[in-house]
Amino acid sequence: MGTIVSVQNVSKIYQMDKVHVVALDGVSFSIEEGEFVAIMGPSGSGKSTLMNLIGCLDKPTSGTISLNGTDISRLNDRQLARLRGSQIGFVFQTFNLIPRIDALANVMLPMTFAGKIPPKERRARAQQLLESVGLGARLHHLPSELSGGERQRVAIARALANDPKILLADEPTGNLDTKTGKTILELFVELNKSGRTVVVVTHDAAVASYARRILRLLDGKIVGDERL
Amino acid sequence: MSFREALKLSWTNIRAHKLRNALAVLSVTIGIAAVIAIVTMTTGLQDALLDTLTKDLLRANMITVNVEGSAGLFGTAQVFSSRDVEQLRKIAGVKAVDVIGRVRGDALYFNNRRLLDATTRITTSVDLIPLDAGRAVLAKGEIVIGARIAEIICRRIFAEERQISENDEALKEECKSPGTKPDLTRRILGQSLKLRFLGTDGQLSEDELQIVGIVKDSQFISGTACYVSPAYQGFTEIIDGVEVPVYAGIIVSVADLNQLGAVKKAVEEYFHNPNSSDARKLLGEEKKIEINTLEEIINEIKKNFLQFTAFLGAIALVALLVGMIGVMNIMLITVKERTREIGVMKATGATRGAVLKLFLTESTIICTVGAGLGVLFGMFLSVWFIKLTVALAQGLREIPFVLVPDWYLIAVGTGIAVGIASGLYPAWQAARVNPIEALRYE
Repeated sequence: MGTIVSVQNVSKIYQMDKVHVVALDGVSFSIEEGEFVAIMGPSGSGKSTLMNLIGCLDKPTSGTISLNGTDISRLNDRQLARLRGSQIGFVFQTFNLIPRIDALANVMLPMTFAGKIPPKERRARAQQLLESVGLGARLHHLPSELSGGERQRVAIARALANDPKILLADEPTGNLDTKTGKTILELFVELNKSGRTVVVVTHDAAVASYARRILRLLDGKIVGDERL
Repeated sequence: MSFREALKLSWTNIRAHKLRNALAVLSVTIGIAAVIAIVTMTTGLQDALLDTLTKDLLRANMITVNVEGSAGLFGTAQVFSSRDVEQLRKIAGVKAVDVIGRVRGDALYFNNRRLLDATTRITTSVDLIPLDAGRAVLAKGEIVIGARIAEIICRRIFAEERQISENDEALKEECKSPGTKPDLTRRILGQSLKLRFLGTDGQLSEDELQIVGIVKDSQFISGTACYVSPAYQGFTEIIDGVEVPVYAGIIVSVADLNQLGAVKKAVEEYFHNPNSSDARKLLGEEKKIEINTLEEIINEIKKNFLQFTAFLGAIALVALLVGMIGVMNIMLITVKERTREIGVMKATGATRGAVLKLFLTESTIICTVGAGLGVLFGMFLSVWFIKLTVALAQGLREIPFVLVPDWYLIAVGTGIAVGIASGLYPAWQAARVNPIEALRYE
């Protein structure tokens, strides 16, 4: 198994008015293919910044981040979008489904943007993905007609649409009750067991306990790297 | 993202805000409808005016041909042969060809009293002379009389019947424009006139003619000219060993005013060629043949109407501009509202181009639908305006409803352009949304 994420001496400094805010301060680590990593830390520790960098939504101020061997700081906007579309599957705390289109269409949307999967196969693939997260009976429901747990499942199916290398989740259970959150985390475990690399960003130790490795962040620095 | 996918997604988005987008469509519809209504109406008015000019007043669809410096009727140059007439009839776009020619040594008599003012002309066509009553000359022994001559005949008939003076003021009034008064027309048509003329042999002959029609009473048409068949034609020339009738001029009328220029050119070419035209053979090289049309007047009218249309159209364009701003406004609100969604789309792999395309498609759909409805609504409006105008101005003749397909295409094209123009800035705003901030956006 190869290295899928390589973070080397990465710093991220935000310029706010006249104050420099150091969100990340010389962070280095790498994630191997097939790992289930939790990035933990209190708010303001820099974990969201780190997630944005791994997710190709942002570029570091210094240092290099490589995704599957590609140095993202060399990519332009369009290439970054392409990389996000094909390599990263985002799962958000607030689900972020498009409210006007049904579950199936939500899952098909990233396929439309990436254009990697032929148009004729998209519908069947989306249906299959929804079935695999246990929503075979909810294909044509609008997000507003689904429960929180169901919405997050749709979001996970959507994240898997383009068969990405990494599933990147930001507090995926933050808006769910404990029981529902547990089933979602079990879904991540299952996905990880089938070989998918999973990165979960959380401040919740109970969530992190599902991972097999915990990276602890504090004030922009890595203060712990444990394998469970 | 393909165009079809963008279209489908945009349509879903438009449907999500039915009222708002319906109002945006309406704002474009009103703008386009205003332009279409104005263009349709002014085109109708122009056609109505040109129609009047063509048929009645100026006979604007005619091309007159005569020899330069000749008055046409009294000039010595009688050079246009019946063969020239036949050749001109073959030109594409020509509706009818008539001759300008006077009966040689003519004198007309009614009840054995000469009609001093009358001149007798030859006509070879049934549809060139506009009539108030009766029909055109079809055969030898028939005559169509001018409006003034009809008045004189009318006065003579009633003066004799009532034993009063022909110059009685009340009688003069009664006999005005007799062609438009059916009771007078009945009395005049069918009356006999005597024509004395010099034949081709130079011998004085006489013939009885029956009045079959009365020429339209108009300032633009001679009221004293009467028309008879070419049987009374007295002027001939020998061309290439054959004796053929000749006339002082030719009148060519075209079927479609728009073809006036092309037909005029063909007529010019015909008379330019010494081998084809008898007139050129008779005249030789030195004398010019004049070919005149009212093309300039028509062009001037068209130009004025175009200015009129452009002026009103510019006002209508303001309405379209307002519509465009309306659409832009809606699109800006939409982009603002969907900031978070844009963030999600970008996180899931949408490029700037894809986001731009999505929003541009949305505004273009709104404007294209608006333009399409605007064309229909504009046509409806113009029909209504025309009815209103005709109803308000009593006695105004019917204004035709003219379809202007070019303008419909222009309108829909403008709609699409307006859609792109109004969507460009909002779509650009959407495309440059920072996904990190957008995902945090509440």
